[in-house]
Amino acid sequence: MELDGTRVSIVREARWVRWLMVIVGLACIAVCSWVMDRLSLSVGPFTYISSFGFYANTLPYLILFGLLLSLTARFFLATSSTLIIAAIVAFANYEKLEVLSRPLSFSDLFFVKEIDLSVLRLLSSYINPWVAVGCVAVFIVAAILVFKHERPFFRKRSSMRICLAIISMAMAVLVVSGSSWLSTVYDAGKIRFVGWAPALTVLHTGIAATIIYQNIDYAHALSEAPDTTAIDKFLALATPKAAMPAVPATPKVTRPDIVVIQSESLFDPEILADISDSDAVLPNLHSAIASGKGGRMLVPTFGGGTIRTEFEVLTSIPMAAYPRISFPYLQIRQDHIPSLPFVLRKSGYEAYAIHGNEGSFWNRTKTFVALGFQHFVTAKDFPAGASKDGRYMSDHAMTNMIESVLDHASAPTFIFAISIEAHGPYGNSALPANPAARDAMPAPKAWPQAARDEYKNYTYHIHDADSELGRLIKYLDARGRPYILAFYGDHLPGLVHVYHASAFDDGRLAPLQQVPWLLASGPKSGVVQSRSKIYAWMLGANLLEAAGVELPQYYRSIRKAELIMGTDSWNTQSDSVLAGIDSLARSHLVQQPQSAASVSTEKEGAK
Amino acid sequence: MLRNALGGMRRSRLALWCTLLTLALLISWAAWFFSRGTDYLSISPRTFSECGGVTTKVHVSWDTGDGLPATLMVKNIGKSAKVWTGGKPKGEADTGAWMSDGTTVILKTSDGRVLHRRTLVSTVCAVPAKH
Repeated sequence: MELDGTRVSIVREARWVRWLMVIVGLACIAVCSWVMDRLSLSVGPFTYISSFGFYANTLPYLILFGLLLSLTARFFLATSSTLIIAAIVAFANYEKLEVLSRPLSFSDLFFVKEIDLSVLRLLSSYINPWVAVGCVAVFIVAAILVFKHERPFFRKRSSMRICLAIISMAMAVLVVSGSSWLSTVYDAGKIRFVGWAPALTVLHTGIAATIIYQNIDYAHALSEAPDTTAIDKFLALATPKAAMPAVPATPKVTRPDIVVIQSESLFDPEILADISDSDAVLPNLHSAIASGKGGRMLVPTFGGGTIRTEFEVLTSIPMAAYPRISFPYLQIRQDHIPSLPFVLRKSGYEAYAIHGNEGSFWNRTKTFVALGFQHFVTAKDFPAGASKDGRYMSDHAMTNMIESVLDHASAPTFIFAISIEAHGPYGNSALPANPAARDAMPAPKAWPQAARDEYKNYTYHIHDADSELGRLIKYLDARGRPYILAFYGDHLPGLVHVYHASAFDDGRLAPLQQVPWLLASGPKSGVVQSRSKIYAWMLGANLLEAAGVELPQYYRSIRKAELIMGTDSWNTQSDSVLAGIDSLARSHLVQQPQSAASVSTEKEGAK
Repeated sequence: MLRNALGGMRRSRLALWCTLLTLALLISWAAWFFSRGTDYLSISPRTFSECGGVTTKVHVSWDTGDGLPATLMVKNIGKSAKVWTGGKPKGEADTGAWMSDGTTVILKTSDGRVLHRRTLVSTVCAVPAKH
C-alpha cells in the first residue's frame, strides 16, 4: 500500500510539474519567437508585443510545438526545435531585408517546394553551404542525443498525446492548405495588413502570421474577376489616328527571325546620380538605341523575381492584373497559357527558349510547355566546354547557342534567351573570368570600397552582356535573313552598397527605376515607331507588329493602350487604360481562346 | 523498496532542477539589476494615432551613462540607418515630422556600441461608422 501510495504521489507531482513545464515552454516559444522576429526587423525587441499580431504569430509555432511534442514525446527537444526553426525564419528574414529590402513572404516558400540543385546553388551564394550543412549535422546529432537521454513526456498509450497529435495535425492541415476558416483569425484588419508596405505588415503581425495570411490570400489569387465596366470604358476610348497597323502583315515566306534577349539584372548605370556617363560600359546598347528604337521599360519587379517580367513579356498580361500572384510560373498551373509563342507558332514559327541554368529553376520546364515553347535549351544542352563567367554560364556561351540554333533552323525561328551571367550577388566571392578587366571598370572614387567593389563586379558582367549584344547584331546582319532583335533588362539588381552610396537622377528609389529596352531589325525588316517608355507587357505587341504578324484581338488592345498613353509619360486617360487592360488580361488568361492542340493543327495546315 | 528508492531519486532530481532553474533566474535578474548603468533612451510619445497622418514628431532624450559622446541614428525597416543627431553624451531633441510606424531611434556611443533602440508604433485610425 505504501508503495502504491508513493507511486500515485509521484505521478501527481509529475503531472503538476508537467503542466507548469508546458506553460513555461509555451510562453518561452511565444516570447522568444516574437523577439527573434523583432531582431530580424532591427526594431526594439518587444515592439508590438501586446498586439493581436503577437498571438497570430505565436499560433503557428505552437502548432509546430504540439506536432513535435506529440511526435517525439520529448518536451525539451520539441521546445528547442521549435525555437531553432523560429530562429532560422528570423535569420532568413534578416538576410532578405538586407539584400532585397523586402521581408520574407509566402512566395519564398515556392523555392523550398521546388528545391533542386539550381536553387541550392543560388542559396549558396548567400549562405556558406558548409556552415549550413555543419549546422544541420550538429542539430541532428544533438536531437538524437536529447531524444535518447530525455525522459518521455507522456506515459505509454497516453490519451493526452493522441489528442495533442490530432489537434496539432488538424491545425497544421488548415494552415498549410490556406483554409478560409483561418481568415477569422488572420483577417486583414485584425493583423493590420498593409498592402503597399509588406515590411509594415510583418512589423504589425510577425513573419509567420504574415506568411499564413498570404497563404490564405494566394489560395484565391487567380480568382480576380474582370471588371466589365473598366473594359467597356477602355474599349470606348478612341484609338489615335494612323496608329494601327503601322506595318502591313508580311507574307509568311519573308517572316523575320525573332530573337529576344532577357538580360539578367541589366540597367543603365547612367541613371545613378553619381554616374554621368556609361558609354564605356554599354557602348553597343547606347549605339543601337540611338539608331533604332527603344528607351525605358517599366518592369514589375526589383532585385529578383525575374519571372514576373518574363511572364509579362511572354504573355502581355500585366502582373498588376493579379496583385496576389508573386511568382506566376509557380502559382498559375494551367496546361495552356495564352502567349507570344502560341501566336508566332500560328504564323509558322518554331519557338525556342534558351537558358544556361537548370530547366527546373522557377519551374520553367513545365511552364514553358504551357506557354507554347517547342524546345527548351538548358544548361545540360550546352556544350561541355561552354564557358562560365563568375558563378554562372557566360553570356558568350548563350550567344553561341543562339547562333547554333539559328544556323540549323529550317523555319522562321523565335528564340527567347534568358541570360544569367550578371546574376547577383556582386561581392568579391566569385572570381570573374577576367579579373583584370573587372578591376579596370571605372567606379566613383568617392564611394566606399564595398560600393566600388560591388559596382565593378556588376558593370563587368553587364559590359559582357553588351559585348554579346554587339556580337549578335553583327552575326544577324551578316546572316542575310531579316530579323527582329529585342533586348531588355529583367529588373534592377540588388546593389545594396551602390544604392546606399548614390541616389538616382530622378530622386526616386531603386525599385521605382526602369530598365533599358531595344528593338532592332535587319535591313529587310520594318520596325514601327513606338513610345520610348513602355511597360514590359507592351513588348510582345511591338514584336508582333515589327515582324509583320497580324495582331490577335488581345494584342490589338495592348497596342491601343500603348498608343493612347502617349509617347513618354502618363496622360489623363492612363488610369482608364490600365484598369481596362488589367480586366481584359484576366478574361484573356482564364478564357483560353485556343488550345495548344489547335495551334499545332493550324501550323501543320499552314505547311 | 527499489521502486520507492527510484521514486525518491526522481523527486530529488526534479527538486534539484527546479532549484537550479530558480537560482539561475535569480542570478540573471540580480546581475542585470546591479550592472545596469545610468544610460537610457526614451521617445515620447512611443505610440501615435494615424488619424493625424502617417508621420509624426517625437521628443527624444538620451544619456550614454559613461560620458562618451552619443550618436543617434534613425532606421526604417529594410533601409539603412542614418545619423540623425548626437555629439553630447546627454541631451534631448525633437525630431521632424518624419517619424513613422516602425521607425527606430538607435543610441550609440562614439566607440560604436549600440546602447538602446526604441521603435515608434502606431494605432489604427478607426473610421467611425456611418449612421
